[in-house]
Amino acid sequence: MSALKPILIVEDNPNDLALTLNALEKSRLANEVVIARDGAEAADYLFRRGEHADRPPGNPAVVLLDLKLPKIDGLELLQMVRTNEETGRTPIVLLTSSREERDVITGYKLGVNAYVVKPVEFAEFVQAIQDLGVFWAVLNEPPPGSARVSRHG
Amino acid sequence: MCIRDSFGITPSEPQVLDLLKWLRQAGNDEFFVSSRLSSHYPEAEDYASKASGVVVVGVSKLRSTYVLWFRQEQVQTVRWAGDPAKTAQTSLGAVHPRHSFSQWTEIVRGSSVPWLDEQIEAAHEFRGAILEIVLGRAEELAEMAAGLQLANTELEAFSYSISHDLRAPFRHISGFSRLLREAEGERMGEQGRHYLEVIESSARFAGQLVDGLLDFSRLARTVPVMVPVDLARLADSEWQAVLAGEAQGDAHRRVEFSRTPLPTVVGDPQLLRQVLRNLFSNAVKYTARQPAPFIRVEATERDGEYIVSIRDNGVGFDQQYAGKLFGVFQRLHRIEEFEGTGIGLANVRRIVGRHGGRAWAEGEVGKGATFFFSLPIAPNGEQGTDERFEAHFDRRG
Repeated sequence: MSALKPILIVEDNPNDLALTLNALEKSRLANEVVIARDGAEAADYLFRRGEHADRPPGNPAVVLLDLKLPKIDGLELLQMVRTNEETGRTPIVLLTSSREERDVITGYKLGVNAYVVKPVEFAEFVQAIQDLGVFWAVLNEPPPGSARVSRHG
Repeated sequence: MCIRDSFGITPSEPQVLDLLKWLRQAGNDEFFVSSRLSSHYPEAEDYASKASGVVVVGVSKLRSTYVLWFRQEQVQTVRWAGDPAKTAQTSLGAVHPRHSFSQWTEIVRGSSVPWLDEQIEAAHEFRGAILEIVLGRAEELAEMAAGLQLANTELEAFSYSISHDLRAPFRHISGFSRLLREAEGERMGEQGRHYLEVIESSARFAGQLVDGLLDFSRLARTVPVMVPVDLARLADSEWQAVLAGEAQGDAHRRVEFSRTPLPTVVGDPQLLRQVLRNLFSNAVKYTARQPAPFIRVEATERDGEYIVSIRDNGVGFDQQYAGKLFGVFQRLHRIEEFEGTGIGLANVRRIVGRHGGRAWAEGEVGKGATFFFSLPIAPNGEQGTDERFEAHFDRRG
Protein backbone atom coordinates (compact mmCIF):
# COMPACT_ATOMS: atom_id res chain seq x y z
CA MET A 1 0.00 0.00 0.00
CA SER A 2 1.41 3.36 -0.94
CA ALA A 3 2.00 5.88 1.77
CA LEU A 4 0.17 8.82 0.30
CA LYS A 5 0.54 11.94 2.35
CA PRO A 6 -2.58 13.98 2.86
CA ILE A 7 -3.32 17.37 1.37
CA LEU A 8 -4.11 19.97 4.00
CA ILE A 9 -6.50 22.74 2.98
CA VAL A 10 -6.70 25.75 5.26
CA GLU A 11 -9.69 27.85 4.22
CA ASP A 12 -12.21 29.74 6.29
CA ASN A 13 -14.73 30.68 3.60
CA PRO A 14 -17.22 27.80 3.14
CA ASN A 15 -17.94 28.68 -0.49
CA ASP A 16 -14.27 28.81 -1.44
CA LEU A 17 -13.81 25.56 0.45
CA ALA A 18 -16.60 23.89 -1.51
CA LEU A 19 -15.15 25.07 -4.80
CA THR A 20 -11.64 23.97 -3.85
CA LEU A 21 -12.83 20.51 -2.84
CA ASN A 22 -14.79 20.23 -6.05
CA ALA A 23 -11.73 21.18 -8.06
CA LEU A 24 -9.57 18.67 -6.20
CA GLU A 25 -12.17 16.02 -6.88
CA LYS A 26 -12.02 16.78 -10.59
CA SER A 27 -8.27 16.35 -10.54
CA ARG A 28 -8.66 12.82 -9.30
CA LEU A 29 -5.94 12.96 -6.71
CA ALA A 30 -5.99 10.01 -4.41
CA ASN A 31 -4.60 11.81 -1.43
CA GLU A 32 -6.67 12.15 1.67
CA VAL A 33 -7.84 15.73 2.15
CA VAL A 34 -7.66 17.30 5.59
CA ILE A 35 -9.54 20.51 6.21
CA ALA A 36 -8.76 23.22 8.71
CA ARG A 37 -11.16 26.18 9.01
CA ASP A 38 -8.73 28.60 10.60
CA GLY A 39 -5.05 29.08 11.38
CA ALA A 40 -5.27 27.61 14.87
CA GLU A 41 -6.79 24.36 13.65
CA ALA A 42 -4.13 24.17 10.97
CA ALA A 43 -1.38 24.72 13.54
CA ASP A 44 -2.85 21.99 15.73
CA TYR A 45 -2.76 19.60 12.82
CA LEU A 46 0.71 20.53 11.56
CA PHE A 47 2.32 20.41 14.99
CA ARG A 48 0.31 17.38 16.19
CA ARG A 49 -1.30 18.98 19.16
CA GLY A 50 -4.78 19.60 20.51
CA GLU A 51 -7.37 17.47 18.73
CA HIS A 52 -4.72 16.21 16.30
CA ALA A 53 -2.22 15.12 18.97
CA ASP A 54 -2.76 11.47 18.12
CA ARG A 55 -2.55 11.59 14.37
CA PRO A 56 0.16 9.53 12.65
CA PRO A 57 3.39 11.46 12.35
CA GLY A 58 4.46 13.02 9.06
CA ASN A 59 3.99 16.25 7.20
CA PRO A 60 1.27 16.66 4.55
CA ALA A 61 2.20 16.38 0.86
CA VAL A 62 1.21 19.99 0.40
CA VAL A 63 -0.65 22.70 2.29
CA LEU A 64 -3.08 24.90 0.37
CA LEU A 65 -3.12 27.95 2.56
CA ASP A 66 -5.49 30.87 2.42
CA LEU A 67 -4.03 34.21 3.41
CA LYS A 68 -6.88 35.73 5.37
CA LEU A 69 -7.71 33.40 8.23
CA PRO A 70 -9.24 33.86 11.66
CA LYS A 71 -7.15 33.38 14.82
CA ILE A 72 -3.79 32.73 13.18
CA ASP A 73 -3.55 34.23 9.70
CA GLY A 74 -1.82 32.70 6.69
CA LEU A 75 1.51 34.48 6.92
CA GLU A 76 1.80 33.89 10.67
CA LEU A 77 1.17 30.21 10.17
CA LEU A 78 3.70 30.15 7.37
CA GLN A 79 6.34 31.57 9.67
CA MET A 80 5.51 29.10 12.42
CA VAL A 81 5.80 26.15 10.06
CA ARG A 82 9.02 27.32 8.49
CA THR A 83 10.82 28.00 11.76
CA ASN A 84 10.00 24.55 13.15
CA GLU A 85 12.57 21.89 12.35
CA GLU A 86 10.12 19.09 11.87
CA THR A 87 7.63 20.89 9.72
CA GLY A 88 10.08 23.29 8.07
CA ARG A 89 10.20 21.69 4.65
CA THR A 90 6.50 21.11 4.15
CA PRO A 91 5.44 22.38 0.70
CA ILE A 92 3.10 25.32 1.14
CA VAL A 93 1.07 27.08 -1.51
CA LEU A 94 -0.60 30.37 -0.69
CA LEU A 95 -4.05 30.61 -2.25
CA THR A 96 -5.45 34.04 -1.98
CA SER A 97 -7.55 36.87 -3.37
CA SER A 98 -4.84 39.36 -2.44
CA ARG A 99 -2.39 40.36 -5.07
CA GLU A 100 -1.09 43.07 -2.80
CA GLU A 101 2.62 43.30 -3.29
CA ARG A 102 3.53 43.42 0.33
CA ASP A 103 1.87 40.09 0.88
CA VAL A 104 3.71 38.61 -2.08
CA ILE A 105 7.09 39.66 -0.79
CA THR A 106 6.36 38.51 2.74
CA GLY A 107 5.13 35.23 1.39
CA TYR A 108 8.25 34.56 -0.61
CA LYS A 109 10.52 35.88 2.13
CA LEU A 110 8.93 33.46 4.55
CA GLY A 111 9.64 30.65 2.14
CA VAL A 112 6.32 29.85 0.60
CA ASN A 113 6.70 27.51 -2.33
CA ALA A 114 4.11 29.08 -4.56
CA TYR A 115 1.69 31.97 -4.45
CA VAL A 116 -1.48 31.67 -6.46
CA VAL A 117 -4.13 34.33 -6.77
CA LYS A 118 -7.55 32.70 -6.87
CA PRO A 119 -9.06 33.52 -10.25
CA VAL A 120 -12.68 34.58 -10.61
CA GLU A 121 -13.24 32.34 -13.60
CA PHE A 122 -14.12 28.95 -12.21
CA ALA A 123 -12.56 26.95 -14.99
CA GLU A 124 -9.29 28.73 -14.33
CA PHE A 125 -9.71 28.03 -10.64
CA VAL A 126 -10.19 24.35 -11.26
CA GLN A 127 -7.14 24.32 -13.53
CA ALA A 128 -5.04 26.13 -10.93
CA ILE A 129 -6.01 23.69 -8.18
CA GLN A 130 -5.41 20.74 -10.45
CA ASP A 131 -1.98 21.98 -11.44
CA LEU A 132 -1.08 22.48 -7.81
CA GLY A 133 -2.39 19.14 -6.72
CA VAL A 134 -0.70 17.28 -9.51
CA PHE A 135 2.53 19.10 -8.97
CA TRP A 136 2.82 18.80 -5.25
CA ALA A 137 0.80 15.82 -4.28
CA VAL A 138 1.18 12.24 -5.21
CA LEU A 139 -0.81 10.64 -7.99
CA ASN A 140 -2.73 7.48 -7.44
CA GLU A 141 -0.31 5.55 -9.62
CA PRO A 142 3.22 6.58 -8.82
CA PRO A 143 5.71 5.85 -11.61
CA PRO A 144 7.09 2.26 -11.49
CA GLY A 145 10.23 1.92 -9.42
CA SER A 146 9.56 5.16 -7.65
CA ALA A 147 11.07 5.29 -4.17
CA ARG A 148 8.22 7.49 -3.12
CA VAL A 149 5.92 4.52 -2.60
CA SER A 150 7.81 3.20 0.37
CA ARG A 151 9.02 6.48 1.81
CA HIS A 152 7.83 7.40 5.26
CA GLY A 153 6.68 10.94 6.00
CA MET B 1 10.05 87.98 -12.91
CA CYS B 2 8.18 90.68 -14.61
CA ILE B 3 6.26 93.83 -13.82
CA ARG B 4 2.63 93.06 -13.14
CA ASP B 5 1.40 96.59 -12.74
CA SER B 6 2.83 100.07 -12.75
CA PHE B 7 1.35 103.49 -12.19
CA GLY B 8 2.82 106.83 -13.02
CA ILE B 9 6.40 107.48 -13.95
CA THR B 10 8.75 104.61 -13.23
CA PRO B 11 11.99 103.30 -14.65
CA SER B 12 11.69 100.71 -17.42
CA GLU B 13 11.06 97.07 -16.68
CA PRO B 14 14.66 95.92 -17.25
CA GLN B 15 15.87 98.75 -15.06
CA VAL B 16 13.52 97.81 -12.26
CA LEU B 17 14.52 94.15 -12.49
CA ASP B 18 18.20 95.04 -12.38
CA LEU B 19 17.59 97.17 -9.32
CA LEU B 20 15.86 94.27 -7.60
CA LYS B 21 18.67 91.95 -8.54
CA TRP B 22 21.18 94.33 -6.99
CA LEU B 23 19.08 94.62 -3.84
CA ARG B 24 18.78 90.84 -3.55
CA GLN B 25 22.49 90.38 -3.93
CA ALA B 26 23.12 93.00 -1.26
CA GLY B 27 20.62 91.26 1.00
CA ASN B 28 18.46 94.36 1.11
CA ASP B 29 15.38 93.15 -0.66
CA GLU B 30 13.08 92.96 2.35
CA PHE B 31 12.94 96.67 2.91
CA PHE B 32 14.96 99.44 1.32
CA VAL B 33 14.48 103.20 1.32
CA SER B 34 16.55 105.96 -0.18
CA SER B 35 16.06 109.42 -1.49
CA ARG B 36 19.41 109.32 -3.30
CA LEU B 37 19.37 106.02 -5.10
CA SER B 38 22.28 106.65 -7.47
CA SER B 39 24.61 107.36 -4.56
CA HIS B 40 24.19 103.71 -3.47
CA TYR B 41 23.59 102.20 -6.87
CA PRO B 42 25.38 104.08 -9.66
CA GLU B 43 23.40 102.40 -12.43
CA ALA B 44 20.41 104.38 -11.24
CA GLU B 45 21.97 107.53 -12.63
CA ASP B 46 20.52 106.56 -16.01
CA TYR B 47 17.05 107.17 -14.75
CA ALA B 48 17.75 109.62 -11.94
CA SER B 49 15.24 112.08 -13.31
CA LYS B 50 12.41 109.51 -13.10
CA ALA B 51 13.46 107.83 -9.92
CA SER B 52 15.94 109.26 -7.47
CA GLY B 53 13.94 108.27 -4.45
CA VAL B 54 12.76 104.73 -3.93
CA VAL B 55 11.04 102.57 -1.34
CA VAL B 56 11.20 98.82 -1.96
CA VAL B 57 9.15 96.38 0.02
CA GLY B 58 9.63 92.64 -0.44
CA VAL B 59 6.55 90.57 0.34
CA SER B 60 7.55 87.08 -0.69
CA LYS B 61 11.00 85.59 -0.98
CA LEU B 62 9.68 82.41 -2.46
CA ARG B 63 7.86 84.02 -5.30
CA SER B 64 10.01 87.17 -5.72
CA THR B 65 7.19 89.61 -5.16
CA TYR B 66 7.94 93.26 -4.53
CA VAL B 67 6.22 96.61 -4.36
CA LEU B 68 8.30 99.64 -5.33
CA TRP B 69 7.54 103.33 -4.98
CA PHE B 70 9.57 105.88 -6.93
CA ARG B 71 10.05 109.60 -6.51
CA GLN B 72 11.30 111.81 -9.24
CA GLU B 73 14.44 113.81 -8.97
CA GLN B 74 14.15 117.20 -7.51
CA VAL B 75 17.04 119.29 -8.72
CA GLN B 76 17.82 121.83 -6.11
CA THR B 77 19.74 124.86 -7.12
CA VAL B 78 21.49 126.37 -4.22
CA ARG B 79 22.37 130.00 -4.62
CA TRP B 80 25.43 131.11 -2.87
CA ALA B 81 25.28 134.33 -0.88
CA GLY B 82 28.12 135.53 -2.92
CA ASP B 83 28.27 136.27 -6.57
CA PRO B 84 29.42 133.10 -8.33
CA ALA B 85 30.80 135.16 -11.18
CA LYS B 86 33.24 136.94 -8.90
CA THR B 87 36.77 136.49 -9.98
CA ALA B 88 38.47 133.83 -8.04
CA GLN B 89 41.46 134.65 -5.96
CA THR B 90 44.23 132.36 -6.62
CA SER B 91 46.18 132.65 -3.43
CA LEU B 92 46.45 129.59 -1.31
CA GLY B 93 43.78 129.00 1.20
CA ALA B 94 41.40 131.43 -0.44
CA VAL B 95 37.85 130.39 -1.27
CA HIS B 96 36.99 129.93 -4.87
CA PRO B 97 33.28 130.56 -5.06
CA ARG B 98 32.82 129.54 -8.64
CA HIS B 99 34.53 126.26 -8.00
CA SER B 100 32.43 125.66 -4.90
CA PHE B 101 29.26 126.60 -6.69
CA SER B 102 29.60 123.93 -9.35
CA GLN B 103 30.46 121.26 -6.78
CA TRP B 104 27.44 122.14 -4.67
CA THR B 105 25.06 121.76 -7.58
CA GLU B 106 26.36 118.35 -8.35
CA ILE B 107 25.58 117.06 -4.86
CA VAL B 108 21.99 118.15 -5.09
CA ARG B 109 21.46 116.15 -8.30
CA GLY B 110 20.16 112.59 -8.08
CA SER B 111 18.03 113.35 -5.04
CA SER B 112 14.34 113.33 -4.54
CA VAL B 113 12.23 114.97 -1.89
CA PRO B 114 13.23 113.01 1.22
CA TRP B 115 10.86 110.39 2.60
CA LEU B 116 9.13 111.32 5.80
CA ASP B 117 9.35 109.08 8.86
CA GLU B 118 5.59 108.50 8.75
CA GLN B 119 5.84 107.42 5.14
CA ILE B 120 8.62 104.96 5.87
CA GLU B 121 6.65 103.58 8.76
CA ALA B 122 3.57 103.26 6.58
CA ALA B 123 5.61 101.25 4.09
CA HIS B 124 6.75 98.93 6.88
CA GLU B 125 3.18 98.43 8.01
CA PHE B 126 2.09 97.83 4.45
CA ARG B 127 4.69 95.09 4.14
CA GLY B 128 3.62 93.56 7.44
CA ALA B 129 0.00 93.55 6.39
CA ILE B 130 0.70 91.88 3.05
CA LEU B 131 2.90 89.26 4.69
CA GLU B 132 0.15 88.40 7.11
CA ILE B 133 -2.34 87.96 4.31
CA VAL B 134 0.12 85.91 2.26
CA LEU B 135 1.03 83.74 5.21
CA GLY B 136 -2.59 83.24 6.09
CA ARG B 137 -3.38 82.21 2.53
CA ALA B 138 -0.41 79.86 2.44
CA GLU B 139 -1.49 78.17 5.64
CA GLU B 140 -5.02 77.82 4.34
CA LEU B 141 -3.77 76.24 1.14
CA ALA B 142 -1.45 73.90 2.99
CA GLU B 143 -4.32 72.76 5.15
CA MET B 144 -6.53 72.24 2.14
CA ALA B 145 -3.81 70.27 0.42
CA ALA B 146 -3.35 68.09 3.47
CA GLY B 147 -7.09 67.56 3.68
CA LEU B 148 -7.32 66.62 0.03
CA GLN B 149 -4.38 64.28 0.36
CA LEU B 150 -6.04 62.52 3.26
CA ALA B 151 -9.37 62.25 1.47
CA ASN B 152 -7.62 60.90 -1.58
CA THR B 153 -5.72 58.28 0.40
CA GLU B 154 -8.89 57.21 2.14
CA LEU B 155 -10.74 56.95 -1.13
CA GLU B 156 -8.01 54.86 -2.66
CA ALA B 157 -7.92 52.56 0.35
CA PHE B 158 -11.69 52.28 0.23
CA SER B 159 -11.90 51.47 -3.43
CA TYR B 160 -9.04 49.03 -3.08
CA SER B 161 -10.60 47.13 -0.22
CA ILE B 162 -14.01 47.02 -1.89
CA SER B 163 -12.54 45.77 -5.13
CA HIS B 164 -10.50 43.23 -3.28
CA ASP B 165 -13.42 41.96 -1.24
CA LEU B 166 -15.64 41.71 -4.32
CA ARG B 167 -13.47 39.13 -5.96
CA ALA B 168 -14.50 36.34 -3.63
CA PRO B 169 -18.28 36.65 -4.13
CA PHE B 170 -17.85 36.93 -7.90
CA ARG B 171 -15.71 33.83 -7.81
CA HIS B 172 -18.45 32.04 -5.91
CA ILE B 173 -21.16 33.14 -8.33
CA SER B 174 -19.07 32.00 -11.26
CA GLY B 175 -18.09 28.75 -9.57
CA PHE B 176 -21.46 27.67 -8.31
CA SER B 177 -23.38 28.51 -11.45
CA ARG B 178 -20.88 26.36 -13.27
CA LEU B 179 -21.40 23.56 -10.79
CA LEU B 180 -25.15 23.97 -11.19
CA ARG B 181 -24.81 23.70 -14.92
CA GLU B 182 -22.70 20.59 -14.56
CA ALA B 183 -25.08 18.96 -12.10
CA GLU B 184 -28.46 19.93 -13.56
CA GLY B 185 -27.65 21.09 -17.08
CA GLU B 186 -29.22 18.16 -18.80
CA ARG B 187 -32.49 18.59 -16.98
CA MET B 188 -32.65 22.34 -17.47
CA GLY B 189 -32.98 22.56 -21.16
CA GLU B 190 -31.64 25.11 -23.58
CA GLN B 191 -33.16 28.17 -21.93
CA GLY B 192 -31.96 27.28 -18.43
CA ARG B 193 -28.45 26.55 -19.58
CA HIS B 194 -28.33 29.83 -21.44
CA TYR B 195 -29.38 31.73 -18.32
CA LEU B 196 -26.64 30.04 -16.38
CA GLU B 197 -24.09 30.95 -19.03
CA VAL B 198 -25.10 34.58 -18.75
CA ILE B 199 -24.70 34.42 -14.97
CA GLU B 200 -21.29 32.85 -15.35
CA SER B 201 -20.01 35.30 -17.95
CA SER B 202 -21.37 38.26 -16.01
CA ALA B 203 -19.55 37.15 -12.91
CA ARG B 204 -16.42 36.75 -14.97
CA PHE B 205 -16.80 40.21 -16.42
CA ALA B 206 -17.41 41.62 -12.95
CA GLY B 207 -14.15 40.03 -11.91
CA GLN B 208 -12.39 41.72 -14.80
CA LEU B 209 -13.88 45.07 -13.85
CA VAL B 210 -12.71 44.58 -10.29
CA ASP B 211 -9.22 43.62 -11.43
CA GLY B 212 -9.18 46.66 -13.69
CA LEU B 213 -10.18 48.90 -10.82
CA LEU B 214 -7.53 47.38 -8.58
CA ASP B 215 -4.87 47.99 -11.22
CA PHE B 216 -6.07 51.53 -11.76
CA SER B 217 -6.04 52.38 -8.08
CA ARG B 218 -2.69 50.70 -7.57
CA LEU B 219 -1.29 53.16 -10.06
CA ALA B 220 -2.17 56.02 -7.78
CA ARG B 221 -0.22 54.48 -4.96
CA THR B 222 2.84 53.65 -6.99
CA VAL B 223 5.70 56.06 -7.07
CA PRO B 224 7.18 55.92 -10.54
CA VAL B 225 10.87 55.10 -10.62
CA MET B 226 12.36 57.32 -13.29
CA VAL B 227 15.22 55.79 -15.23
CA PRO B 228 16.26 55.86 -18.90
CA VAL B 229 14.00 53.58 -20.91
CA ASP B 230 14.72 52.44 -24.44
CA LEU B 231 11.27 52.79 -26.02
CA ALA B 232 12.30 50.94 -29.16
CA ARG B 233 13.23 47.81 -27.25
CA LEU B 234 10.21 48.11 -25.02
CA ALA B 235 7.88 48.49 -27.99
CA ASP B 236 9.33 45.48 -29.76
CA SER B 237 9.08 43.25 -26.71
CA GLU B 238 5.58 44.41 -25.81
CA TRP B 239 4.43 43.86 -29.35
CA GLN B 240 5.62 40.28 -29.16
CA ALA B 241 3.83 39.81 -25.84
CA VAL B 242 0.57 41.26 -27.14
CA LEU B 243 0.74 39.22 -30.30
CA ALA B 244 1.26 36.05 -28.29
CA GLY B 245 -1.66 36.89 -26.03
CA GLU B 246 -4.20 38.32 -28.44
CA ALA B 247 -3.65 36.16 -31.46
CA GLN B 248 -3.96 33.00 -29.44
CA GLY B 249 -7.37 32.19 -30.76
CA ASP B 250 -6.59 33.01 -34.33
CA ALA B 251 -3.30 31.64 -35.53
CA HIS B 252 -3.94 32.83 -39.06
CA ARG B 253 -4.08 36.46 -38.18
CA ARG B 254 -1.12 38.46 -39.24
CA VAL B 255 -0.89 42.01 -38.07
CA GLU B 256 1.76 44.07 -39.74
CA PHE B 257 3.83 46.02 -37.25
CA SER B 258 6.21 48.78 -38.21
CA ARG B 259 7.88 51.62 -36.40
CA THR B 260 10.28 54.50 -36.81
CA PRO B 261 13.28 54.70 -34.48
CA LEU B 262 12.04 55.48 -31.01
CA PRO B 263 13.84 57.60 -28.43
CA THR B 264 15.22 56.67 -25.05
CA VAL B 265 13.01 58.43 -22.54
CA VAL B 266 13.10 58.95 -18.81
CA GLY B 267 10.35 57.01 -17.12
CA ASP B 268 9.22 54.02 -15.13
CA PRO B 269 9.84 50.89 -17.21
CA GLN B 270 6.95 48.86 -15.80
CA LEU B 271 4.45 51.67 -16.19
CA LEU B 272 5.55 52.53 -19.71
CA ARG B 273 5.34 48.84 -20.55
CA GLN B 274 1.73 48.93 -19.46
CA VAL B 275 1.04 51.94 -21.66
CA LEU B 276 2.41 50.26 -24.75
CA ARG B 277 0.71 46.99 -23.94
CA ASN B 278 -2.67 48.67 -23.57
CA LEU B 279 -2.31 50.65 -26.78
CA PHE B 280 -1.03 47.69 -28.80
CA SER B 281 -3.67 45.39 -27.40
CA ASN B 282 -6.39 47.88 -28.35
CA ALA B 283 -4.99 48.25 -31.83
CA VAL B 284 -4.97 44.50 -32.33
CA LYS B 285 -8.47 44.18 -30.95
CA TYR B 286 -10.00 46.86 -33.11
CA THR B 287 -8.31 45.71 -36.31
CA ALA B 288 -9.76 42.22 -35.82
CA ARG B 289 -12.07 42.59 -38.79
CA GLN B 290 -9.57 44.08 -41.20
CA PRO B 291 -8.29 41.88 -44.00
CA ALA B 292 -4.86 43.56 -43.90
CA PRO B 293 -4.39 45.01 -40.43
CA PHE B 294 -1.37 47.12 -39.63
CA ILE B 295 -0.05 49.07 -36.69
CA ARG B 296 2.54 51.78 -37.04
CA VAL B 297 4.47 53.44 -34.22
CA GLU B 298 6.17 56.77 -34.78
CA ALA B 299 7.95 59.29 -32.63
CA THR B 300 8.78 62.94 -33.08
CA GLU B 301 10.29 65.65 -30.95
CA ARG B 302 8.48 68.91 -30.34
CA ASP B 303 8.75 71.71 -27.78
CA GLY B 304 10.75 69.76 -25.24
CA GLU B 305 8.56 66.68 -25.57
CA TYR B 306 8.63 63.36 -27.33
CA ILE B 307 5.37 62.62 -29.10
CA VAL B 308 4.74 58.93 -29.71
CA SER B 309 1.90 57.83 -31.97
CA ILE B 310 0.35 54.42 -32.56
CA ARG B 311 -1.75 54.25 -35.68
CA ASP B 312 -3.97 51.40 -36.80
CA ASN B 313 -6.32 50.80 -39.72
CA GLY B 314 -9.04 49.26 -37.62
CA VAL B 315 -12.65 50.12 -37.03
CA GLY B 316 -11.84 53.63 -35.78
CA PHE B 317 -14.10 55.82 -33.70
CA ASP B 318 -16.22 58.95 -33.97
CA GLN B 319 -13.93 61.91 -33.32
CA GLN B 320 -16.66 63.87 -31.59
CA TYR B 321 -16.52 61.41 -28.72
CA ALA B 322 -12.74 61.40 -28.54
CA GLY B 323 -12.81 63.15 -25.19
CA LYS B 324 -14.59 60.21 -23.60
CA LEU B 325 -12.10 57.61 -24.74
CA PHE B 326 -9.79 58.00 -21.78
CA GLY B 327 -12.46 58.01 -19.11
CA VAL B 328 -12.65 55.20 -16.59
CA PHE B 329 -14.86 52.40 -17.87
CA GLN B 330 -15.71 54.43 -20.96
CA ARG B 331 -16.27 52.63 -24.19
CA LEU B 332 -17.28 53.86 -27.62
CA HIS B 333 -18.24 50.50 -29.03
CA ARG B 334 -20.85 47.93 -28.15
CA ILE B 335 -19.69 45.21 -25.86
CA GLU B 336 -20.96 42.51 -28.25
CA GLU B 337 -18.71 43.89 -30.96
CA PHE B 338 -15.54 44.32 -28.96
CA GLU B 339 -14.93 42.97 -25.49
CA GLY B 340 -13.11 44.89 -22.78
CA THR B 341 -13.71 46.84 -19.62
CA GLY B 342 -12.81 50.29 -20.90
CA ILE B 343 -10.13 50.91 -18.34
CA GLY B 344 -7.04 50.41 -20.48
CA LEU B 345 -6.99 53.95 -21.84
CA ALA B 346 -7.75 55.44 -18.42
CA ASN B 347 -4.62 53.68 -17.19
CA VAL B 348 -2.65 55.02 -20.14
CA ARG B 349 -3.71 58.55 -19.44
CA ARG B 350 -2.96 58.20 -15.75
CA ILE B 351 0.49 56.73 -16.26
CA VAL B 352 1.43 59.26 -18.91
CA GLY B 353 0.14 62.00 -16.64
CA ARG B 354 2.38 60.76 -13.80
CA HIS B 355 5.29 61.20 -16.19
CA GLY B 356 4.30 64.78 -16.95
CA GLY B 357 2.86 64.00 -20.37
CA ARG B 358 -0.53 63.87 -22.08
CA ALA B 359 -2.51 61.29 -23.99
CA TRP B 360 -4.99 61.95 -26.80
CA ALA B 361 -6.41 60.30 -29.87
CA GLU B 362 -7.66 60.95 -33.39
CA GLY B 363 -9.89 58.65 -35.32
CA GLU B 364 -12.45 58.26 -38.04
CA VAL B 365 -15.17 55.67 -38.19
CA GLY B 366 -14.13 52.89 -40.50
CA LYS B 367 -10.75 54.46 -41.21
CA GLY B 368 -8.74 53.59 -38.13
CA ALA B 369 -7.35 55.49 -35.18
CA THR B 370 -4.14 57.07 -33.97
CA PHE B 371 -3.30 57.26 -30.30
CA PHE B 372 -0.76 59.80 -29.11
CA PHE B 373 1.11 60.29 -25.90
CA SER B 374 3.77 62.78 -24.97
CA LEU B 375 6.64 62.47 -22.55
CA PRO B 376 8.80 65.39 -21.44
CA ILE B 377 12.35 65.02 -22.63
CA ALA B 378 13.67 66.28 -19.30
CA PRO B 379 11.11 65.52 -16.63
CA ASN B 380 11.05 67.35 -13.32
CA GLY B 381 10.15 64.28 -11.38
CA GLU B 382 12.40 62.12 -9.28
CA GLN B 383 15.43 60.91 -11.11
CA GLY B 384 16.24 57.26 -10.63
CA THR B 385 19.68 56.20 -9.59
CA ASP B 386 21.08 52.81 -10.30
CA GLU B 387 20.40 51.48 -6.83
CA ARG B 388 16.79 52.47 -7.02
CA PHE B 389 16.55 50.74 -10.35
CA GLU B 390 17.85 47.55 -8.77
CA ALA B 391 15.59 47.86 -5.76
CA HIS B 392 12.67 48.43 -8.10
CA PHE B 393 13.38 45.22 -9.94
CA ASP B 394 13.72 43.27 -6.72
CA ARG B 395 10.42 44.66 -5.58
CA ARG B 396 8.57 43.95 -8.77
CA GLY B 397 10.05 40.50 -9.11
